[in-house]
Amino acid sequence: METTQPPVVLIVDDEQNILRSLRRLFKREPFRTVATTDPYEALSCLRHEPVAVLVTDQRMPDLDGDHLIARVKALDERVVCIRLTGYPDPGAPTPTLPPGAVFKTIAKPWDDGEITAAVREALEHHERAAAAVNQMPTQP
Amino acid sequence: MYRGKVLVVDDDEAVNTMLSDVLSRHGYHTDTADAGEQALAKYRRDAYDVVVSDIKMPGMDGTDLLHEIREIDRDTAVILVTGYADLASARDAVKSGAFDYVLKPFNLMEFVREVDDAAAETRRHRDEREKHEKLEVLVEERTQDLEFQSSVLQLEQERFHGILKNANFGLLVLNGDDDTVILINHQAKRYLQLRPERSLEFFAEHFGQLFPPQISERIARVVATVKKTGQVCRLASFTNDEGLILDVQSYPVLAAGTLRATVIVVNDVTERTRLEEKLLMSSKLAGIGELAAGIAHEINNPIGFVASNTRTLRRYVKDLAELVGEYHNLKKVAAAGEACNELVNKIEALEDRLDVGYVLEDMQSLVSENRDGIERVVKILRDLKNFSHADDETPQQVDLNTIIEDALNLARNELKYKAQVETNLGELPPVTGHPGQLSQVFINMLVNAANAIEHKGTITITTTVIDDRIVATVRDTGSGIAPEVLPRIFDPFFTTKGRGQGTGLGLSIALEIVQQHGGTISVESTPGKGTTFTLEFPAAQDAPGHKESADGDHAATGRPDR
Repeated sequence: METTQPPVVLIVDDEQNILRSLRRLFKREPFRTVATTDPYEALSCLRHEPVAVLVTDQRMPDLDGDHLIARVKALDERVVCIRLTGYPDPGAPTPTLPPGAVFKTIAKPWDDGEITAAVREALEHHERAAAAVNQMPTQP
Repeated sequence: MYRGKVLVVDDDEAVNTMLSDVLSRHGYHTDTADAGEQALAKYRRDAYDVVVSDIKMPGMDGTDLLHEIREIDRDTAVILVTGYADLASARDAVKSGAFDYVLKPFNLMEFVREVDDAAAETRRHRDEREKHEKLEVLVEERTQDLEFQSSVLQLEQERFHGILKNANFGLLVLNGDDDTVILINHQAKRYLQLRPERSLEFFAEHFGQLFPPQISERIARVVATVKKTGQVCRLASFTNDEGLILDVQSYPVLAAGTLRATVIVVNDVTERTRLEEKLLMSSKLAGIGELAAGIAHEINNPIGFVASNTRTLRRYVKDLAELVGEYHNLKKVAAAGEACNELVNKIEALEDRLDVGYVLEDMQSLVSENRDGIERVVKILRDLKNFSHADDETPQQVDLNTIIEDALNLARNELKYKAQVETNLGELPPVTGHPGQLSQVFINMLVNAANAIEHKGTITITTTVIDDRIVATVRDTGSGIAPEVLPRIFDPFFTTKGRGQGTGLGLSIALEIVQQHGGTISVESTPGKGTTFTLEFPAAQDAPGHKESADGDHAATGRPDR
């Protein structure tokens, strides 16, 4: 059964103002944006929304970005993850993350064009991966 | 048994033979001479223990021989032989150095006893002379020794004097009894700006005026303390008119428990003080360095959304301008009385496309969010400015609670992911001090507390007044400090962090600053449970009343309106 629902971009940051400004930015994009300051709420959102892309802040009080990515990947490995960080030197993703788990790292303050392009690219990446899965012969 | 060697002198051959015989039988070796001249020649060639000589002889008589022998030595006993007729000259001879005389005719037994005594006398003389000579040699040696030592001492003394006079530290030595100046070197005169050509006596009489008036009283007190306690005493440094920062120390010179002298050493610590200040400054910057990433994070977040919002706002303005343009068109068409339905439809479509309702609403929240963001950045920059602002030389009255709140603001980002911060700040009287230095102390305490917490913990800061002291505690629920490490944590350069991770200066500088403020730091720690640092400061003197009276003064002497 084909789904007509637009793909969801899930944004997580402990700072409400960041979420609001990203939602503004993405308002006219052809995807739906779900935003939360709570990483655990983000995880539960994954269960009832068709999340294609995760944009997450790196440093958050309860669960940091890399750990959230690890748990999101464990729930749905197709979700393409983008890290957003306010640190001047963001550093490499936590070594415990599987290679390729982080699609891109974007530094704050971000460039609107760059982050929009990154999310679009991530969506394409997700679509291609989904298409590849769909083309695979179904198991008898 | 050999008893000695005797020279027998008589011009009578028979007497010589008789006396030789009797002496030989009694263990003496003998030699004879028949005239004074011959006897003297023999005496010069050989050593004899006793000479027995007749007084009356032709040529050199016995008395002459005696005198000749005495010229040669004073040890050998000489016995003169005489008849009654010459008794007087025999007695004279005894006075002038003969051992004794014997009378002719001889009583041989008596004669031998006389020779025995004479030989003993000779030995005694010789022994004494030997002893005397030995003693003289010894005295000579000792004298030379003493002369050498005293010349060495003098040399040493001159050398020490030279060293002390030309030493690059200032030195004053006071007599232990009456405090008169017994030594003052060049450097001391230079440091204290005294005229170098003045005599020691001048300084001795004017000790009270040697030091600048602002510290002379303290110097006198320190000297008195040194005398009383017998311990080294240090005076806080002072600055002389040339701008040199001088450090004064005093210590006693004790000998067998008595004060012999009081030494005052004056050192130029200008350079050291400058380096210490530099170190303090660079360690302050290092502290900021540790916070830099966190502060950048705190700035990057608001700048991130403000920048993005501003671009969105530009788009909104462009959209609205387009819409306003259409409204103008509509106004013109309406004014011309023409049909405007078409234009209204167009405008409605544009409003839909641009989602004007949303834009107008969102613009307001966007602007207010941007204002918040900018205020946050401004606040961070203001906190930073407070911190990095070099303190005035003169201490101010500082509210420790404000200092702690400022420090918390700066360290907040470092703390908020690690710990919940709880504050319990009681009302405090002011402390006298340097706000920048004090906030450095608390930033250090807070960053340390955060570093001690591995995952998630609590940092509790309390301030309170106990007696007349202000007590601040910084408690964390972190990993604690191992007991073996605890005594060293205030040592400079001591760190448990890896290379390049920490300077190890934080706590030592903190301690230094707190001590300069007349305060103390103590620490209690339980490994696995956490650590509590307790900082105590004296309340500023005359603090509570001071403020009121200052206010009162202000009201009373307020500027006239005219």
